[in-house]
Amino acid sequence: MLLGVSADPPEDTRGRVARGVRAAVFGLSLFVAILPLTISAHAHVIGPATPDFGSIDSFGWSLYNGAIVPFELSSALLMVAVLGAVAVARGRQGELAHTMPSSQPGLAPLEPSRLDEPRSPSLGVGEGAKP
Amino acid sequence: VILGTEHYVALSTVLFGLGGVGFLLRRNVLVQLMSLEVMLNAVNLALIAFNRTRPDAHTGQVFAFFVIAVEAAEVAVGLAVVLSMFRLRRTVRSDEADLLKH
Repeated sequence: MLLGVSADPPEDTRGRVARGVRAAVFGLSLFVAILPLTISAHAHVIGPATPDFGSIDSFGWSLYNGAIVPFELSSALLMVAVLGAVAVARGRQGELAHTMPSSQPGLAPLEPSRLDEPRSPSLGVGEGAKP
Repeated sequence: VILGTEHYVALSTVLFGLGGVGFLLRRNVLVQLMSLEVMLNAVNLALIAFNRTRPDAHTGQVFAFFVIAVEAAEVAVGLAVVLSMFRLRRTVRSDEADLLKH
């Protein structure tokens, strides 16, 4: 969708019914089970809050006094996530230079036909043989 | 109508359900990541709504803060994985991410 035409081959219909049933069961069970509990005749009216509820002052006080260790750990988490994202997204050095014929035969190399003819009808048919 | 906690929880339930249904229905990994964001934000809404009923503490808001931080990390890693998968397989469909299957 967002990565161009070649990233969006024609939709195959394998497992579409099972997928729909799964999603319907999830959504309906959630709605049926929880929504009636939340909608009652008399709403639990919330009284007015204190003036400093949710202010930067009191929120920061809570954050730094009650959760300082998780706060610092979250900074480490974000740093690790950024480093990992860069490491994963950058790939191996010089990968595009000499591995286009695929030095990894088991890893399903790039298929040029899928790039050139993304709308080719053979896509949906040929892929259907997979278990 | 006066908005109470129930309305926020109902909205949170609807958002969570929509996110879950979208995650189960769609096969585009990017759309699945968006659905995941919707589900996490529904949880944030419920946390903050419940925190509003106990204005003497900010526990729910602090928890939502950490949920947002984890969400950011997850999206960064998730998009990197999607990019890597697109380089390898030229697709972002999640049912074609079967490199570990065979």
